Amino acid sequence: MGALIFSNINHRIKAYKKSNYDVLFEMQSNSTVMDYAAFINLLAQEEKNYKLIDLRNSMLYDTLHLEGALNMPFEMLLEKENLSFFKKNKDLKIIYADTESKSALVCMMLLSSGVENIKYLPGNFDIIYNNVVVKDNPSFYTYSDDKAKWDYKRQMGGNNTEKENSPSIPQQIEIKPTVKGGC
Amino acid sequence: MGPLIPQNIINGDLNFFFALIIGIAFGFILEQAGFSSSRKLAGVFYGYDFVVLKVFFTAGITAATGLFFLKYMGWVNFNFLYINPLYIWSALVGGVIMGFGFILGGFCPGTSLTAAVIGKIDAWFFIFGMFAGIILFGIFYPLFQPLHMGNFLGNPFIYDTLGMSQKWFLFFLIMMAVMAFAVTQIIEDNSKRFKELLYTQKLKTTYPLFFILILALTALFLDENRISYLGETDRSKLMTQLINKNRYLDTEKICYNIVNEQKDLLFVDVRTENEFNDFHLPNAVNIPAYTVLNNSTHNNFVEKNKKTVLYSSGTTKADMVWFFLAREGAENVFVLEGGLNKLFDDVFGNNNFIDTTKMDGLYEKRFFERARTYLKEGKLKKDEDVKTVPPPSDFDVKAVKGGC
Repeated sequence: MGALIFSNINHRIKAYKKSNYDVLFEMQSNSTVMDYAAFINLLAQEEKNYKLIDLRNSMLYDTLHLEGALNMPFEMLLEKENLSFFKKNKDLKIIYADTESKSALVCMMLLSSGVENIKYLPGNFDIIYNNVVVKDNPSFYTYSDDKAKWDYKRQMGGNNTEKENSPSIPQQIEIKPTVKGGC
Repeated sequence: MGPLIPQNIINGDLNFFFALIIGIAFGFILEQAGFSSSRKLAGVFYGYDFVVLKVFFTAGITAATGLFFLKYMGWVNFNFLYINPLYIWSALVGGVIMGFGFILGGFCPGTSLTAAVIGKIDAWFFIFGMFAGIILFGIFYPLFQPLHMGNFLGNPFIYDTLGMSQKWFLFFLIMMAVMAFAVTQIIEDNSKRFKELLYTQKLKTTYPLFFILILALTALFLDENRISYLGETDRSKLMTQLINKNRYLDTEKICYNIVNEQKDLLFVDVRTENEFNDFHLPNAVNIPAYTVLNNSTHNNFVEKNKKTVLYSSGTTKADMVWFFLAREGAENVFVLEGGLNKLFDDVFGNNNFIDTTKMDGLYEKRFFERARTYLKEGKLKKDEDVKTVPPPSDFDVKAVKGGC
C-alpha cells in the first residue's frame, strides 16, 4: 500500500492524464485544428475569449509575432508554471509554431498531459502571417502542410502500378555513330 | 483472458483452450458452493438464504477493485476492454423475464448446467425450456427486433452516469457490499428455515472484509487520472525526443536508400489507400493513420523493432503517428522530413539553383537525376551494364567512311 501511494507521488510529474488512443483519435477527428477562416472570424470579434501562444524561441518572437500572442518556447513546455498555465486557463488556447508538425506534436503532448480546450494553427508562421494578418487569403482558408502538392499520377506518367506488374524488358543499348557529313 | 492477450503475453490462438480450463474451474466452484441446489438459489427471493446476493456482490467488488488497481499499475488498458452495449428496454425486459424464470425454475442459466451435470432432472427440464425459448426467439425475431435493438445508449459506465469519480464509486460500492453482507447475515441468523437446511457452514469473513476495506481506503488516496501503461515512454523522456530532431530523415538520405536498393529501411505510408494507390515509394507498406489505433499494428511497430520510416504528404500526419508510437515505447521509428511534398520538390522540382560549376553541386544534381529516373521507371539501369556493353564492331569502319 505504501509503495502504491509513493509511486503515486513519484509519478505525478511523469505520468499521462489521457490515454494514447484517445489523444490520437482526437487529433485525427480534426477537432484540434483551427483553420484560418475560423481564426479570422475569431480575430474580428471584440471579446477576446482565447489565448494565443507562440511556441517559437524568444528571438523570433521579438522580431515578429501575431498580435496579442504570449511567448512560450516549446522546450520549456513541461516546466511547472507553463503546464499549470495551460491547465488552469479554461479559455480556448491556440498555439502556433515555426512548423505545423511542431505545433501538432505540442498539441498532442498537452492533450496527453490533461490540458483541455486547445487548438493549433496549421502551417508555419510565415504562411499564417502572410495569409491571415497581411492579407485575408481565401485560398488558404483550409490550408494544411499535409495536403499533397504534386499530382503524382501525372508526374509519374500514367499508371504506376501497371508498370510494376509488367515484366521489365531489358533495354538494348545501341550506340549509333553520329557520322554526318564530313568537313 | 483479459489483459494478457492484448499485452501479447498469451497468444490469441489459445483463447479457446483457456476458455475450457476456466469453464471447468467455474463449474466446479459453482457446484462446490452449493449453487446446484435450487432451494439455495431461490432462497434469496424467499428471504432465508442470501448466498446468491453475497456471491454477486463479491464478484462485483473483486472485479472492480482488480480493474481499478490493474489500471493504476498500467496493466490493463481500458480501450481494450469489452463493455456490454446497453439497450435499455431489452435489458429491463430481459431482467424481469430472467427474474421470474429464476423464481419459477430455481436456477439461472449457468447453475442449471452444473445441476444438470450432477444429474438433477429438473435442471434438464430447465435447459430444455431454455433452448426452446432461444429457438422461439430466433424464429419470431422480426417481432422482437425493435425491442431488442431499440434505445441504444452506447457503452456507458455507471460512475460516468452518476457523475462520480472512479475511486469514489469503488469506495461506495465496497461499502454497499459490506452493508449488504451485514444485513443479510442478521436476517439469516434469525431465519428458522436457514437453520433447517444444515448444509451451510458459517464462514470466517473477518480477514477478507478487512482486506477489501483497506483496498477501498487506499483507492481514495490514489490519483485516478494517472494513465501510464506498461512499456510506455514517460513524459519528460518523450519531450526530449520531441525536441531533438533525431527522428527526421531528409530526402537525400531516403533517395540514396531507394536508388541503391538498400533494403534496411521499411517505408510506411500513413496516407489513405487511394493516395497510396496513386503513388508510393518503392517497397512501401500502407498503414493509414486511422488504423494505427488498431492493436496488431501496434505490436508490429513496438515488438518487431525494425527500422521504420513514416511518411505522408507533409510532415504533420507522419509526425502524429510517430508521437503515438514513441509514447507506446517504439524505438527506431523515423519520419521523412517534409514528406512527399519536399521529396518531389527536390527530385522533380526546378533545381536549377544548384551551382553546377562546383563539384558538389554537380554531384548533387546528378544524384537527383538518378533518383528521378529510378522513381519514374521503377528500376535503374546499373552503371555496370552500361560499361560492359561492347562497342559495335563496325564502329571504326563507319567512322572512317564518314571522313572526307
